[in-house]
Amino acid sequence: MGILRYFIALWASKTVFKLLRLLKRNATMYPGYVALKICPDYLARTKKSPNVLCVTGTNGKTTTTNMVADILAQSGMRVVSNRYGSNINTGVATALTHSVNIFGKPKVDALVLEVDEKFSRLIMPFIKPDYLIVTNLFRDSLKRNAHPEYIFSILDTYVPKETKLVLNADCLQSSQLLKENKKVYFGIDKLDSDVTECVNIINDFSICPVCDEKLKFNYLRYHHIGNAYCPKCDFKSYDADYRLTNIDYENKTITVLHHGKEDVYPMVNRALYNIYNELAAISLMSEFGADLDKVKEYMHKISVTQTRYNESKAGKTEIVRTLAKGQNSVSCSRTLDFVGHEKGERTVFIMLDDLLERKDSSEFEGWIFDVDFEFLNTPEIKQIVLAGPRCYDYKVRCLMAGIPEERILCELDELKAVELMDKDIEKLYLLHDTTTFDLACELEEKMKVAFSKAYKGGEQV
Amino acid sequence: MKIEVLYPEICCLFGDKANMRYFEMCLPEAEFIKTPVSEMPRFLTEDVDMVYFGSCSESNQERILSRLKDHKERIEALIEKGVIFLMTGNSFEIMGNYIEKPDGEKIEALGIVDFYSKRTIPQRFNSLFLGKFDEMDMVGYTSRFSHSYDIKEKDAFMSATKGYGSFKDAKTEGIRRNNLYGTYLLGPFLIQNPLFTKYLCEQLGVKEPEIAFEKDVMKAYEIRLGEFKKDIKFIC
Ligand SMILES: [Zn+2]
Repeated sequence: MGILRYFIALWASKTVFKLLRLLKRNATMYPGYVALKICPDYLARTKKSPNVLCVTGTNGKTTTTNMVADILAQSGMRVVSNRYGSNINTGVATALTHSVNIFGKPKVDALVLEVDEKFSRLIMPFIKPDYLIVTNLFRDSLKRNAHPEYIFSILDTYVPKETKLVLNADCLQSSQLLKENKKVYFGIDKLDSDVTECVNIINDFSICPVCDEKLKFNYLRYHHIGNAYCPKCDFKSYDADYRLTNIDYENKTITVLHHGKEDVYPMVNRALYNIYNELAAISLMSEFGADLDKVKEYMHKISVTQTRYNESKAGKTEIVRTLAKGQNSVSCSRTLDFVGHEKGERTVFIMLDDLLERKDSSEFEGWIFDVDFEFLNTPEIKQIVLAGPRCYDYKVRCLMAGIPEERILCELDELKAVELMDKDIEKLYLLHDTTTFDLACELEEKMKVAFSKAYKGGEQV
Repeated sequence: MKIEVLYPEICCLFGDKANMRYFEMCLPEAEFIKTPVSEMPRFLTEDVDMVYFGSCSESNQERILSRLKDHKERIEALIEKGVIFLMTGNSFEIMGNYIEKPDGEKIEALGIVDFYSKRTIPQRFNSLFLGKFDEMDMVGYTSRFSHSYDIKEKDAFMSATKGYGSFKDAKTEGIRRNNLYGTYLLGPFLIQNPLFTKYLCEQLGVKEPEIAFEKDVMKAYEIRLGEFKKDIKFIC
């Protein structure tokens, strides 16, 4: 009975996929949804490919998954991944449908799956990954993810004991996962920009889990990312098996030390969080037994998609449009850290309202009080434009960060804010949320017109 | 004036840290003591005018209970004396009789106010809130894994007009005894409720208090209140 139901689910799933493709609709979630509707234990019943590699964590999942899938594909393996689709149970079910033929036999060599950390409960026990990368664990949306400890407990409970883990030694939270499992750690050695006292509002791992004493840091990168020890007991960060010992921005390379041997890889992207993602992928490939010289070659051909970052020019003004994930205070703080530490006089335009919630509800603004707006308190930032219905909440937050009121423009209407803002600027950072992406593009066009008008023939008009 | 912020390194989820950061800006003369988990609360051995607790994880809530359970009499005496206790998010649950876990296990709480709480993990409740305290319109947001039941009317903090009260359909929200104010509302509660913040300052003996960034805080409050009074979705 069960087996019949499984096959009906598999065939229905494949049919639905073909139909959606025919209709040119998004076919990443619904085929899996149908399969799970018909056969609730579809994930468990589907025969797995010889290799199941998963990636989870708060930030960096997609980039890391794509790197791993790309490397394996370049090495000639047949790979199925959910890279264009959803990372919850339905998306994973869709990927499983693609990984087998109509008789339920695996037809690929590897499944590479991005798995939502919260949905791990419904996924991990059934797909039983051979390898799992956990990129990091941070605060995320409080509605969906509650707090990092909650997500930690899900992974700690539902990841099978047989899964080999690739963990981030620098993330104090996720490095403590699954004490019983086999695992390796990756980490980045002390950097010049590291500190020893936390400058961020959020540090969700500041006390010793054994004796409650305040932890000391050999180096602290941001939030709870760093290398810590307890001054009172013998708790300390794990040593990295894969140590990134050098970042060469000029030659765009990174050096990874493993078992006393140093290897130099091309740097796929210069952002530190992407260097972490690349290091995670390299560590996994090494554990997987891949030829590392080949991996170096493959890395040359990999690029990180930059839908989250765009540069353009309007008159004399350079506009940088970049994503600062709303409701995710850590991700947003990372963006403000970046913008705050750039050089030269600049304006920052902030529009992080959740447009979906704005439609029929009102957004919770607690998260912006966990964001480090203090990074924007520098005289080089000449104006901070706060636009949208929540602008006064943002203004209070900026004032609390010590930013002088005269540098703040607060306007309920985003389009009007473009009209009112100073135009005589060298550089503008336009920070938007995932839900305000379209609006940000629209504003960017308006800015281009307004800035070009204000600046004709090299003179301010 | 002495204000003790308890365990800020763990009672700080969801933007709660901002409450005392802001309150410090409202009361620049006051002394703010931040007591870490590794130390005993100062209010056990010295006089303080106010104690603040913020939201924390469930395991940290239990950790805090194990710390404070031997000091019930002292806490009770301070509340009787009129010392302000402000507790946001799930932190006020420790004042009840017990907290029941999803598997039925009951964690004994301080038993200072007569009610109990029940965890619903993994079910989470998210809601906007509109209510009233002492003729003041109160606004805020809750996101939690638990509800509290059996709170007597005399022990309730606010009336609930829209959104979740102490439980889904409760007509009241939070707990109050003398100057103990406990609410499930979390995040920047004092910033989002400037009228209540002024009231707290008055309770601390400040005459005609002026709060930090009053003009903009009031503007944000009025905009939010206007939205909350409209027909918008509260449960999310
Ligand atoms: Zn210790």
